[in-house]
Amino acid sequence: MGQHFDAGYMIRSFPVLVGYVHITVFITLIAAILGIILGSIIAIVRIKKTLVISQLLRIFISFVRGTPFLVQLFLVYFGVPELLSHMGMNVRNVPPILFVLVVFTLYVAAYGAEIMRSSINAVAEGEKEAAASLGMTAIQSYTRVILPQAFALAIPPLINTVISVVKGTALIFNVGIVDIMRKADLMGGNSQRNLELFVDVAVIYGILIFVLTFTGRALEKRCTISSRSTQLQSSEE
Amino acid sequence: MIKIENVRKSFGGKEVLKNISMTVPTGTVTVILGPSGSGKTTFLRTLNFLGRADSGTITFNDNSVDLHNASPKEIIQVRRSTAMVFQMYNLFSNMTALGNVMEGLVTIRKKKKREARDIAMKCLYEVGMETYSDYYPVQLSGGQQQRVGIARALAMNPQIILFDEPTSALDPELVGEVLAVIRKIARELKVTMIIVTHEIAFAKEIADQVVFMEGGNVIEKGTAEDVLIHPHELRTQQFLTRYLAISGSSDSGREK
Repeated sequence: MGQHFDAGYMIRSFPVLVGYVHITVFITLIAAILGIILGSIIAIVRIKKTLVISQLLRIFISFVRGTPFLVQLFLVYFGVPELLSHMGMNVRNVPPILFVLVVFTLYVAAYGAEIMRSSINAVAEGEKEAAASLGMTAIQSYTRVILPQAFALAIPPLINTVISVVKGTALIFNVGIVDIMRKADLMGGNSQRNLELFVDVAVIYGILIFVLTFTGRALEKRCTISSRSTQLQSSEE
Repeated sequence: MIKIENVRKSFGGKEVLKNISMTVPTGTVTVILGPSGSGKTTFLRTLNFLGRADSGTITFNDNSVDLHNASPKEIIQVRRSTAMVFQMYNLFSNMTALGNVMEGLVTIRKKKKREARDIAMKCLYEVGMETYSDYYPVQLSGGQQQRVGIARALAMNPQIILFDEPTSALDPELVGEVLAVIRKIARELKVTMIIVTHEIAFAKEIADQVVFMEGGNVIEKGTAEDVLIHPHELRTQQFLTRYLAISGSSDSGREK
């Protein structure tokens, strides 16, 4: 066994790989925050059925949902700079991580928009009317009444989307970013011990996703009262 | 004084409000009665722009607003001068009872949290819900939720409160507590109100003016005694007779 699987090497490599985990965490955090904000805005625009913009957003959403992630990454990383250079702009010096952030943010925004759209629609119509009849502006009713409840409902599916982002970051070595994946690959090239290294990688991703799921559960619990009452109200009607 | 004139509304070619007018003097209670589908709720909702009338005006003191062509600014202004109490309570489920009552004061009236809390607690006290201030709507009974709904309306100190069948969704035994609160704020606080209800005994007792509606028309309007005890119109008599035959005894029994 020792020959086939060097547990010592696996344990020694683990902290080295963990040293690269911040890239994954950074991308996930930024994409989740910006993506959920952007997604909520898209959801509201789509609910309002704003002419043209709403249609364009629908196309954007089906594009993101209907194409492989790696294709999107390459389109933005290789395709967009080409297009811009034809237009006389040079973006070759822009660090690749920026492209990755854009792609992931749009990814979360597209999935988040659909999630938020259904959660916003699930908020009891009567409460929207109550907010309006108090004299709230549209923005006030969204920020005070509708979105807080919609978010509570949306937490589990949003966490799922963020989990896909974490897993999706395993592809970013393709555009030259050294993350856990790439580091393991490089180390494997030297040591010829890929099995140990990728077991480490799997464990690290597993832990990340465990933490995310756990945080999601805690958040969901904190919001239970409001989400439960929403469900009660709609079932009463 | 609040004056409502010539309100009309159609849904898909069917006229559901045919030229409704009424005047509600300050500090008085107007009760709208009528069979289901007579347009009572639709009428009330047009006053608050929850439904848009095809024509009509509402006048507060000397300030007239067109119920059809109002600008967004005017709509918000009317909504801020009126308050609505809903059949299904419609409390904000992400806020406590206190939060519900404070919400309009903080978000719309821009009051300081402390001041808003004081006013809200006073309103909760008026409806007998002060000990439930930390409860979420889901933790309250229908009657308790409706009392919070009334406190939420009261807190805004509106020129008029519109009650849309405030007891129709309640268990019979919870109706009394809500009617008691409405009676109290009408008598003690002299709040101007329009109440759409099916509680005829309650109407008799509380209304300064009773409006009987059917098929989108006002059939009869006058004091509670005129309309409910000595109705002139045949249709009103029929409605009252039938209504009392069905629920008259239990109706008065509900009143405590």
